[in-house]
Amino acid sequence: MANARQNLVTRFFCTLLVLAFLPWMAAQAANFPERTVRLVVGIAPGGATDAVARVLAQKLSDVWGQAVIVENRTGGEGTIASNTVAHAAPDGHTLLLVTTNFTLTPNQFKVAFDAEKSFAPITTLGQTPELLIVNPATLPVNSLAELIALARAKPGTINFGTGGTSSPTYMITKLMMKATGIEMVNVSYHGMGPALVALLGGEVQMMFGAASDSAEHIKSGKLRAIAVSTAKRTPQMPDVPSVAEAANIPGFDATAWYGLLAPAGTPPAVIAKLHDDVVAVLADPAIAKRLQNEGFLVQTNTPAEFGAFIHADLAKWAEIYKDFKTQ
Amino acid sequence: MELLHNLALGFGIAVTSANLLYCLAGATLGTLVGVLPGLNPILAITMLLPLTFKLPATSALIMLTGIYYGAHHAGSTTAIMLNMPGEPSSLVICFDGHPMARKGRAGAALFISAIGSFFAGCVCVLIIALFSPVLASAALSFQAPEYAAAIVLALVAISSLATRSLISTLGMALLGLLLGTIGSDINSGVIRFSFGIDQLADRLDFVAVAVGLFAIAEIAHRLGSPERTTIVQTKVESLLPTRAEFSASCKPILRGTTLGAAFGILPGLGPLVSSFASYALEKRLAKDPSRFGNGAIEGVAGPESANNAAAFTHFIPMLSLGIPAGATMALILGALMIQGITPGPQILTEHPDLFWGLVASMWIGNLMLLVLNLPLVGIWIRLLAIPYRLLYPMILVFCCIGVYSMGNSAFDVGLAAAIGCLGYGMRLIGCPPAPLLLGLVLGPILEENLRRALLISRGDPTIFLTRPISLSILLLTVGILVLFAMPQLRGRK
Repeated sequence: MANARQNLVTRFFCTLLVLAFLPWMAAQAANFPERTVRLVVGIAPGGATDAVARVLAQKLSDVWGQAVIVENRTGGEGTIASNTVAHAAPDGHTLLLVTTNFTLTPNQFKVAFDAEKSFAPITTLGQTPELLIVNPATLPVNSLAELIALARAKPGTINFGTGGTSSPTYMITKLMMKATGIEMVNVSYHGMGPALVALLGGEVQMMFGAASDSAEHIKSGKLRAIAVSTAKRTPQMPDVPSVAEAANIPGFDATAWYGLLAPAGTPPAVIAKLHDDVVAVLADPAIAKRLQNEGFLVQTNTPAEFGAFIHADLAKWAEIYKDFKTQ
Repeated sequence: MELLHNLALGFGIAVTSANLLYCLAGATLGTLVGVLPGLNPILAITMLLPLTFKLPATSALIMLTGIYYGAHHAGSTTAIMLNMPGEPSSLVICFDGHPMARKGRAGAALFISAIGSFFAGCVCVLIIALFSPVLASAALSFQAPEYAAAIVLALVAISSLATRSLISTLGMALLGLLLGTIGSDINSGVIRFSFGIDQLADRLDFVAVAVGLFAIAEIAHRLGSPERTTIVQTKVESLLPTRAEFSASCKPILRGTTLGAAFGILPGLGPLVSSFASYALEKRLAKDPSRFGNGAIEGVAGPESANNAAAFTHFIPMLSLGIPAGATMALILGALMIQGITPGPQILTEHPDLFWGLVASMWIGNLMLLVLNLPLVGIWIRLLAIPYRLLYPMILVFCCIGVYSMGNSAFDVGLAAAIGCLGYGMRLIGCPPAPLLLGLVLGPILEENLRRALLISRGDPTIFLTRPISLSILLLTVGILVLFAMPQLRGRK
């Protein structure tokens, strides 16, 4: 009984304490940001990810009247950047811009953070749909169905290019191969630029790649886009069917996505402010247009939705990696 | 006729007062980061990138490219004056440029390198204007087997750089190759030799290694030998090269430009490799190769022209295919794409103003650099008059900033310091550091392409012999080996 009363008293004081801090917490969000905000990116300058970060940083510093600095911490497929932010002060002044690698790496090697528990999700930023492109000179197919038929007839003869076995493009190709039961050979490159050269030169016959990189070559007829990796068609190339519809694999959806995270323990009020400001910046049509030039389609959601997305994505890749290990 | 029309269009765009200003700003900033060891154009371009969002695409491109070629132009200055390359690609200039400075011929070395850069720049801008699309598609036939063969050729050529002993040169190249295996293997995703350190999961940072080996080790070495901390030679009689020096430089400049222009078109290779190749070529052609390493003007003229030629032709894959040939090109490409311009096969028809404006501005920028650099020669000479106790701490600070800025990583600064110690030790026992750096650069490219070629041929090694380009490169390599071996075999008899 005494115990229960003590418990009640403790609870009462705890509540008081929280109440006492409430105005302060609210003030924290109102005053946020109080100083320079670091936006950490795990990828070197140049390319879509960096561009998104820089556009976002520039606009947010206009809104906040505080400098927002993009910090490119490269290395370990983005894990060095993730690690830095996971262990930074949870006050919203250190943010992390992540891409698909974020949910791939924990499946690939040991990392010093927990992709779900070490971070507080803010929102997804968008995605870059990956086009399945072929070089018609070396692989004369007009549709994904034709590609699959050819790959079935001659298993292991088609080379596909990727940015390495830990890259999203590799995982997307693997996912498609698993869903359709075809067999092709991976050729790894350091980044998608060299892979595109190889596709143009005929060293590989197909690959998944961002629409922005290959659009000019598709227009000139050197390359042919036969499918897009998203669940639905992309507004950039409305004539190109999705992998799901072209190969009749319902639910096939795999893209390079981008999102914004803060360290776990960041006050919810600060997360809410960050969320609202970022969403407002990205809602500007001029910004969306500029990012679309880089192949980037803006797409935002709520912190809870983003959290659930990360959970599902980790599980999706874990499934694929389980297959690797049993092979 | 159409070319003249296009050039007129280009000059019309580049000669507006705003664009001239952006061109000058870019070239000046490039010169600054080029002169300072450690600081590099990547840093300068990254910092200016958000600013360019508000500029018209052509102006942004003019300024950013100005930084890029300005840095390549100026990288040789500190190499000649202080034996520290301002940019890694100017490393080769140390070999003979610095000995020239020690003999009081710094003015001549700086003058010739400015002229060589200018000439190479002009020729290559013309190449870009005339042959971009053709060359870009020709470069596509250069695939994995060809790259592998070309690297073997380059490695064989390194051995001709041996000044003292072939064993120590090859040993250092091998050490560089081994260091190049650190990091994740792209074929399997396995991380090699990282010892659990996240920062080693990628390759050793090239800038950190170059700064450690050449700037930090050089400073340590100077401090270690008291007689060298005093100013070597200030008796600079004439800033201009003599007639003999001038005529000795003409052919190396021509050859360097040709070599550099060819190497620059291939993504992945480029300024550093082509300047090494040019040096090796000049040494082989010289009547008296023993002069090399002791201040041969050909050893400055050739590599410096090659370096700049490659820096310019690096634009060809970017402009005509939309494919960046290096990290700096990737940044410039990014700046263009955010403006809504995707370089590619259509750039000439869709954005002629941009293409020709750029070409014209490169020409103008090149001229600006020449005008900027020739009067500066006198000022650079005085660099030697700055007491080392002031100069060296300053250089070290810039080195640290430069290395740190590459990945915002304190680890890389530590790495540069550690490599600096290694480099100092190497100097003490007489091991040349340049082959190590070249091995570090070429090793991963060789491994990657060798394995890729074999993967594509499904394990059949004859792929290297059945493809005409790869076969001819390998035959050339054998030819060079025979040339090397001949004198030694004859000597034995």
